[in-house]
Amino acid sequence: MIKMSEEEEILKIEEMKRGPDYLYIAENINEDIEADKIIEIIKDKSITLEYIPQIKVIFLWTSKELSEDEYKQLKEKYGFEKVE
Amino acid sequence: MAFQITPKLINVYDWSEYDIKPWTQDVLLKEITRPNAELPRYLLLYKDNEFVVLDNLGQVVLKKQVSYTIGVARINNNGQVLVWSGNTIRLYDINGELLFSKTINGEIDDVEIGNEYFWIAFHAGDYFYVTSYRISDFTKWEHAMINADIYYVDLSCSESGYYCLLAYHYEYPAYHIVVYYSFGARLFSKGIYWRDRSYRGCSRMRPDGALALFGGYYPYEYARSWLAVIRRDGVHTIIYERWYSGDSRYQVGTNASFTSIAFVHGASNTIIRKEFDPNTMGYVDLDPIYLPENAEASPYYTIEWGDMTPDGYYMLVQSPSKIYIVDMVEGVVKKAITKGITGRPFKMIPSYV
Repeated sequence: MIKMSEEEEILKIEEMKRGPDYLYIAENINEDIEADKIIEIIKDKSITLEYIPQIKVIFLWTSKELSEDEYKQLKEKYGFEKVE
Repeated sequence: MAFQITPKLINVYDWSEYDIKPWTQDVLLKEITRPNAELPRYLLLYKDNEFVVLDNLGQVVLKKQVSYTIGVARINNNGQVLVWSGNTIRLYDINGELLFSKTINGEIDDVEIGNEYFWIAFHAGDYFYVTSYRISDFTKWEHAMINADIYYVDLSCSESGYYCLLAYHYEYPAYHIVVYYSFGARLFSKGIYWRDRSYRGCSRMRPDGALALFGGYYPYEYARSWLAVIRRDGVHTIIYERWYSGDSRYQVGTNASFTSIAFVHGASNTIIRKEFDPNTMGYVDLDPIYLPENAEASPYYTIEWGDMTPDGYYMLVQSPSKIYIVDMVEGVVKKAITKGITGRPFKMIPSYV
């Protein structure tokens, strides 16, 4: 039975603590990025790619550190460097 | 199916109308929208691979072809356009230059843009994110929440984008939740007991961010469709509710201060009017205004349809075959424009010359 009520409550949906984000940057990018191709290389992580044409930089944020193979591919194809 | 779209300039002194030339073309129209602003200056029209920005004299400011399929586009009062396509959003300047793009390996739920900030809500991995960016330098603020059971997400932001309302449906128990954000700082969360089911397009924020209107419905056997106004401090007032049926989606008009709120639901010819007091969060019912025919039903739970001039003098509502401009002071329909499109919202912007 559904209770009909005007009752309200403040819900306590706790924000989850994320692990640290890892940031990789590729510079001197002159065209809109092939984002889906970059995403295909990376497995099992949350990924955000931000591209700012005016400064020709791609920011790649990942929820886990890239594997050696992923990092190698992204470095060779797009010039991504890890930001420590 | 192509639609002939002819923007019109309407003179409210003699109700004459002028087709805007030279821009007129067949387009596969997806939507007409405008900035959330106290004095909106632009109209944005878009189809699958093109968007067009018109100023308040109907002149084409920008016609932009893109190489991808536009899902949703939004415009701020500086004429900058935020385009959502699949898992990517792109921000274009008023001259069509790409300023920013963002791609995620997840699902975007909604986007909104103000003059200084834009907002993105999306699911990625284990989390649901609400992210805002400052347009001037793309500084980012972000909240992440566990993503389970968060559905039917809707964002609406203020004219500057400084404030944003997030409405979403939380699976169990069936709460309709609204959250006010500012720069990633969550001002409050509110679960409204057993008022279920927000949906994209279910909210509209006052341009200064002090209030927001939002709608939803009670589910199941107690089905009610309702509208509420919520204040930035979390106080809210249910201003209207009715038995829910498939035709009870609203077309809504508000003036810039939200002191005048009017709406009509599908399969009804009655524009219901409320005089709202933001200080007391109370309202007074005003005499309704009657259309010559029933209004067209907007999509589920949305209140994106309908429009009102910022001064509250005129309201736009539509039937399946006509667009009506209603004089809210005299309480009469002043203009009826025949349309051949159904299932699409229409918007208007004031033109002062």
